Amino acid sequence: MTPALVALLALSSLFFAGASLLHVVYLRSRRSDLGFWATLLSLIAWVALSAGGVMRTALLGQLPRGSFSDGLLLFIWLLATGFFLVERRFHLRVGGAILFPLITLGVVVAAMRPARVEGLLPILQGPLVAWHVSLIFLGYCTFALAGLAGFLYLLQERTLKSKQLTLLNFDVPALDTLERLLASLVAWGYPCLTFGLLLGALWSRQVWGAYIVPDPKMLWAIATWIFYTAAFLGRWVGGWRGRRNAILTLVGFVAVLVNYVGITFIVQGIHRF
Amino acid sequence: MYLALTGLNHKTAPVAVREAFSVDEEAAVRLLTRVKQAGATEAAVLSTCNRTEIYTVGPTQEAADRAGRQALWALASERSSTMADSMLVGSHDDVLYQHYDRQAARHLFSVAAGLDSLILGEPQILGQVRDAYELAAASQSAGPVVSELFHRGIRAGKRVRTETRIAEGAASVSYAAVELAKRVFQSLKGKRVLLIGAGKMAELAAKNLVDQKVGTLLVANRTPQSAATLAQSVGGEAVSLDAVHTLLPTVDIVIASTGARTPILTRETVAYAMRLRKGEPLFMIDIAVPRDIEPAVHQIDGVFLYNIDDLKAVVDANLSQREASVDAAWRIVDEETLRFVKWLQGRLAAPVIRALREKVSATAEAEVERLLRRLDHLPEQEKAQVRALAHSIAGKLLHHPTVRLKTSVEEGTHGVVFRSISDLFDLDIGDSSPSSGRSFSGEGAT
Repeated sequence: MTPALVALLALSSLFFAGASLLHVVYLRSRRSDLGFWATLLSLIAWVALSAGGVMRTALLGQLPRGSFSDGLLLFIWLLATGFFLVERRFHLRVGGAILFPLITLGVVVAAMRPARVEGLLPILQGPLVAWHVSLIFLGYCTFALAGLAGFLYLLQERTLKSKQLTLLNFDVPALDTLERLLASLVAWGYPCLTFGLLLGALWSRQVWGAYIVPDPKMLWAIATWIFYTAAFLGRWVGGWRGRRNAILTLVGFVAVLVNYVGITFIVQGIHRF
Repeated sequence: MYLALTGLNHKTAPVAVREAFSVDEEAAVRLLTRVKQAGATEAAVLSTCNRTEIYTVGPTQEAADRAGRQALWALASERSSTMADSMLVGSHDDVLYQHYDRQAARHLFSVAAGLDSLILGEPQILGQVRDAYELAAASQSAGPVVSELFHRGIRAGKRVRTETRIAEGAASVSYAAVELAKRVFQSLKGKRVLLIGAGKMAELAAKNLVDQKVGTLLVANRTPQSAATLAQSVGGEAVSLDAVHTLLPTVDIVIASTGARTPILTRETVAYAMRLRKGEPLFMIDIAVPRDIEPAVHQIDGVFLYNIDDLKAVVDANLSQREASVDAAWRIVDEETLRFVKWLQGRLAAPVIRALREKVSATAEAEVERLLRRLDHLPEQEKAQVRALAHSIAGKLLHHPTVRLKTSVEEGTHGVVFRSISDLFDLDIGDSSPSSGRSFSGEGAT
């Protein structure tokens, strides 16, 4: 990590922290002017993060994928970008109060864990790995956003069922909007994950000679894929809606987290992240 | 130039008296003309079903006050004679209230904020304040003071509504139903609604839903006649009560209010309908007593059933939340009042202060130059020092009068203070009121 990159990340995390704070204040006060500033700060943070990503890519000459911190930054960037894309259309600004604190934490962690490998191992060269990483991360980040939508759905549903409406004084989108959002997110994420895993299998065949090797991350990813297949089919074929769908997306996201963070640090495998 | 307010509202006068004072647009225009004839330079009339208030600006406090009061009296006695109710006329003075300058502005701002309304923070009043201003502008009675006053008032009203929670949450049962439905469906546009029973409450709720542009409104009732009547009045479609079960899977919102002794919709019926709905949520309101929908229906996944008590609880919670915002709302009102007073200070005191300063510094300068012509041998540097000394003495002496001129506007004593100062210093500031009753049609209405 060059000092310039660390400075950009620091700047980005600072703005993300400010955006988190404003999102929380907005959630309490519901003042639309605060909401505007909250979004503006998060956009500035996103620009700084993007600049960092471009700088790192230029330095390496290809998509950074050599270390946990590179992976984390890519993931966060996709997550923030995805959030901006759906925020306005689905009235999801309140989601920022949950998402941006996590993103801030992520940027800080990434900035504090200097990449040990500046270049790429020969094994990681080639477009196949780049696409494998990108697609899987794209899938993971849509699942993360779906998890967020699922969480908000359960919150709204619980409030309506308990009839304690003052519990929820902030603008959580209506149930039908959240339902639509999480369904379309899973519909986007599922093919990404599927193709990402297929490319990984092809790569594995080239390097290790088998489509599937007993790597904990790989096995867990396959389990996750099976889970989402069930959720995907459940909705489009079985007509599962509402609460059940929301719980599934939340569980799915926890599975993704376990794979991404848990297995990276606890179990050693062929994946660096 | 003084600002006065004379008026009465639901706190000071019973409805019979408010009726005598109520004004429609045409009567308001007549009032405005009358007030100006009585010596006011600017005026505006704010009239709602809970209040009639007249804001007047005049060259003296007495003139402003008298103009408003006389106009209201004349209006009421005119009405009372036509109503053959002379009893009313005698009792006006204790129902009328008067406020001046800062207090008058503060009152208008709190009215615009909904702090003076029966239902705290209700939305209509802001529009009524705007209408009052527009009417005054259209009938050439809104000068600079009234314009600033009402623009500030509208701004205060808007700020209070966006920065506090005083206008948040439904304040009536029928609107609470709409608000709840909007937590299930982001937009009610195009949704299908089924009314079971054709009672008054159902009609009210239906009208609110129609305002939200729902798609289809089906009305089912035991007597087809009243179903048809209600369907016609809300722009819906009458259906037979027996068809309710088959229609249930196709509708998104149900409002039940029949007089039936036993529930019309049981848990089984609704659960079956939900299976056909493939998980699309269903929002139900039961305002009937005894209830039309089995309470256990609420436990079905995707069904949200609210009865009349639930809706009342929502309204109560909303209202107490509004109460909790009152202090914050007053803070905004006070802020805007302060700004208005500052503006008024600038507008009223500025010409006097300018004249005073010009007079004093011109005198000081003339005297210094006269002296310096005699002390021509002094080096330039020392001459400059002498000039600076004269300026600083003049400045020091002017400090207190300047402050006093400004504060007098806040206190409403500026008439006397302005007169004394122009008298003592022999100032020529002309008419102390910048607005002298000409036409002010050019003030942009919002």
